[in-house]
Amino acid sequence: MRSDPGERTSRPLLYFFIAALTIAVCVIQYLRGGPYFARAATVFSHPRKGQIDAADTIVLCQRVVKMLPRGASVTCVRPVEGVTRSEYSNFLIAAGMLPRQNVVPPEYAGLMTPPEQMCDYVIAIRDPLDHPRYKLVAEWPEGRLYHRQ
Amino acid sequence: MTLFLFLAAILLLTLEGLVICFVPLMQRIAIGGRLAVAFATGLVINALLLSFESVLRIPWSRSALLIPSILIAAAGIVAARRLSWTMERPSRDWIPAAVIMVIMIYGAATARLTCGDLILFWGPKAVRFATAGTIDVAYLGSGHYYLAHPDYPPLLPLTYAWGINAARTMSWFGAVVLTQFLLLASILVVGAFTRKPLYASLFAAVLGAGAAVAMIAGAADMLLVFFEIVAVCALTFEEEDRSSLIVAAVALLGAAMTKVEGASLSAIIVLAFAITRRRFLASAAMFIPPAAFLAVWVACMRRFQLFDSYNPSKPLRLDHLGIVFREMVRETSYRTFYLPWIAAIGPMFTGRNVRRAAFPLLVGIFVIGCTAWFYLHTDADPTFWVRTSATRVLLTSLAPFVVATAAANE
Repeated sequence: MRSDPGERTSRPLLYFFIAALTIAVCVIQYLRGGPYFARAATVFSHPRKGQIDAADTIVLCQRVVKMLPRGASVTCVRPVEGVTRSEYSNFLIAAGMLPRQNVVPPEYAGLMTPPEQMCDYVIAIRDPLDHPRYKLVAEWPEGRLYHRQ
Repeated sequence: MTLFLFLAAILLLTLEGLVICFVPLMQRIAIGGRLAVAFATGLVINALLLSFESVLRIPWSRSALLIPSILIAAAGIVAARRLSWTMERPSRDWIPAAVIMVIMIYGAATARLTCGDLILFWGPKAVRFATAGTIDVAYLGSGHYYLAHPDYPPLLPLTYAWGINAARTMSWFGAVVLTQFLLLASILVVGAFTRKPLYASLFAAVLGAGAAVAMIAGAADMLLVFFEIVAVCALTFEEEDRSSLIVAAVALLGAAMTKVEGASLSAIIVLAFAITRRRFLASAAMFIPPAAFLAVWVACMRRFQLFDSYNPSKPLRLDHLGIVFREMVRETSYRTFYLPWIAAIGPMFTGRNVRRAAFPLLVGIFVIGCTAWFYLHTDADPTFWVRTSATRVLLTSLAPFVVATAAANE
């Protein structure tokens, strides 16, 4: 190991900064909220304020993945007052959770979407979907799965 | 089990990377740093292998992946056997780094550090690539996924895809824990090159705090810091050894293959080295691998009409200068009253080796300037962009400042 006078004079300073930053790391993680000693349900269970809230999307996709046929077209969206809206985060996440399906944007399950363009399944996060062409298949606390009639 | 297989497969890429042990420089650095540099090299080799197979339309079957990998790993083991592997007794100065690593792994395992980009595009890309058994151009070019940045470079998705092939499924927790291993590898590199474990602990504290605030687990930012720190440390502390240029060139290639910013980071490191060391030919030679990769990648993206992020034609908006400056100043506080910056730069003033410190210092300063330059190239109000990315992107500035502090005190 190299050693020199400069290092000897800076050691207390270095230890001070290391200690202060270690405390900062602990406080930052504490402020993300509990539970602190339980296994997280998903990789996104402690989002920062203002970040996307994806935990329900991940859990729901993991639930439906075995129910969906290979190659089926599916979208994933959080409906607002029963209607799909243009959003990107949920269907982008679903694209990684449903590798054997064709995951499409929510526009493929809109009220104005021509029937021949509609996707086969809709994963509705939390709130129900109110669409005459989609029938409820299954329901969980995190949301619902609908199939096109 | 999935997590274990996923992580083990990726960490075993170190065996492939041992081919870097043919470089004389490797004999002079400590074992931890040696393994970390081999890991960096392994990640690059794996990404190149999977990319070549995609270009040659060879599906990623087990034989297509394992046969070349085993052959390269065998060459790596032969190279490694030439070196002495006797370990020194570890110093107590490593203890703070170990404590910070435990806290960071806890944070990753309880999902406190996860980056949204992991589940929005880095992870989905990897899953789709692994399912398709190639770099899935149909997925990237479908139009639905343009917000997933189709032309981002492939190293991270390819690394995850390699892990998925071993584990048979994506381990999302494996991805966030891998980021902590990349932090650990970076710490080992700093310790090995500076020969002062206390500076490795300082690096762990600074980057740990920055990463905890920025929430980068699973994204490509720590990977970029890792490649950067390998290149910067090799060129700062082993500049007299010509073989350090080879190690730096491999790391610069890795940086260019990791993120769009990796290309500018490679150019910055080369430019800073040329200015401070006046070794223009060596600097140019070092830039050949990342430049060659960029040329091929951009050509491929143009060929498949996926060219977007690298497009240089976006106009400079100097009227956004005030917003960019204000938001960068705000975000770089890391919500800790600028403590990471003060800790990274403050102890520099107790040292005197200005010549040694000049190169990493210049890299850190150039990164800040370059980041602001990028932010000034958007038509929309850059506030949101700066707020959602500055803490992550500027980790590549914090890291060389710690190296500069260690160099100044040499």
